[in-house]
Amino acid sequence: MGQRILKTDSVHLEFDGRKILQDIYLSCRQGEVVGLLGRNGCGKSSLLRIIFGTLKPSYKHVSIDDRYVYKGYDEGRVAYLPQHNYLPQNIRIENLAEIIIDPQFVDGFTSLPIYQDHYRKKPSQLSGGELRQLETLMCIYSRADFILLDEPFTHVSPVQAEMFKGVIRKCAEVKGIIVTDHQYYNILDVADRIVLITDGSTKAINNPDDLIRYGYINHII
Amino acid sequence: MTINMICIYFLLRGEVNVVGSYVLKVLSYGLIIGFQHYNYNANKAFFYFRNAGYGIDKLYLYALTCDALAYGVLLSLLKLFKYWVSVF
Repeated sequence: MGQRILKTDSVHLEFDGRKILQDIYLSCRQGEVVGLLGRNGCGKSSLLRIIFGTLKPSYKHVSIDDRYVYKGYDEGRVAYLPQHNYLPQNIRIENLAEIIIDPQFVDGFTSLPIYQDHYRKKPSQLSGGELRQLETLMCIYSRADFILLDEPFTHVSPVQAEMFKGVIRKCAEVKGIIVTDHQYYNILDVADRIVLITDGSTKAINNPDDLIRYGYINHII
Repeated sequence: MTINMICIYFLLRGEVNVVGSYVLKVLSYGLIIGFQHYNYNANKAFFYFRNAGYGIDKLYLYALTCDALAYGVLLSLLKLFKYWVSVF
């Protein structure tokens, strides 16, 4: 099977009469990492939730291989890492992993130290940092064709962030990954392509200087 | 299971009939779904099941259908047991 492509077009979202998203085009092909940047409240997380299917806008057109997708998570086509914890608290981690992890990545996932150290425990027995690390890795290694990561580098140490980037690159060989975070240098590092959301619409970023031009940053670190 | 036991308890005491016990169960299903829908923590765990490729509506449908069938089987066995006790 050839590489699938996820397209999101013509999204209209408003809260209390305030237009959040109005001129959106975002695509992601299997085999690439798309970085999504934007200021607080610009609609990055909302856009990911719209693609995933848990937020209903006034209008949207989301498709995979030009077939309309009502809810991204149907049939396990899209997985989403929310900003909050999402694992059920009282099921053992090995049982949770068995259902969600992509068979082709089982060896890679089960050999990770975070899994080796805790697979017999329940999520409620992990610290906040350990749980977030496990949830992020479970999402990246999940069976879905497209992975949406909402702030995977937030509250994560630099060493862990480097490890996440390696895993994202590895999984992106066969999956399409859209990642958003305020740590833009990590996004610039891991993404093949950058898209900026500003004034409710998407802008392609061809070089880091464009981020300054659109007022997202004052200077490059 | 707790709800099944409560329904069977009232049924054996003769306070509700079989149809009444099923109505009680349907009401309890409504309470469970309502609680999980509005409970923030329960709602968050839905993302795990969605990421695993399971729609929440289907999960509810399968779980509650299995529960209703299990209740029916349990009820039939109890009725049969009571009948045998009365015969022998």
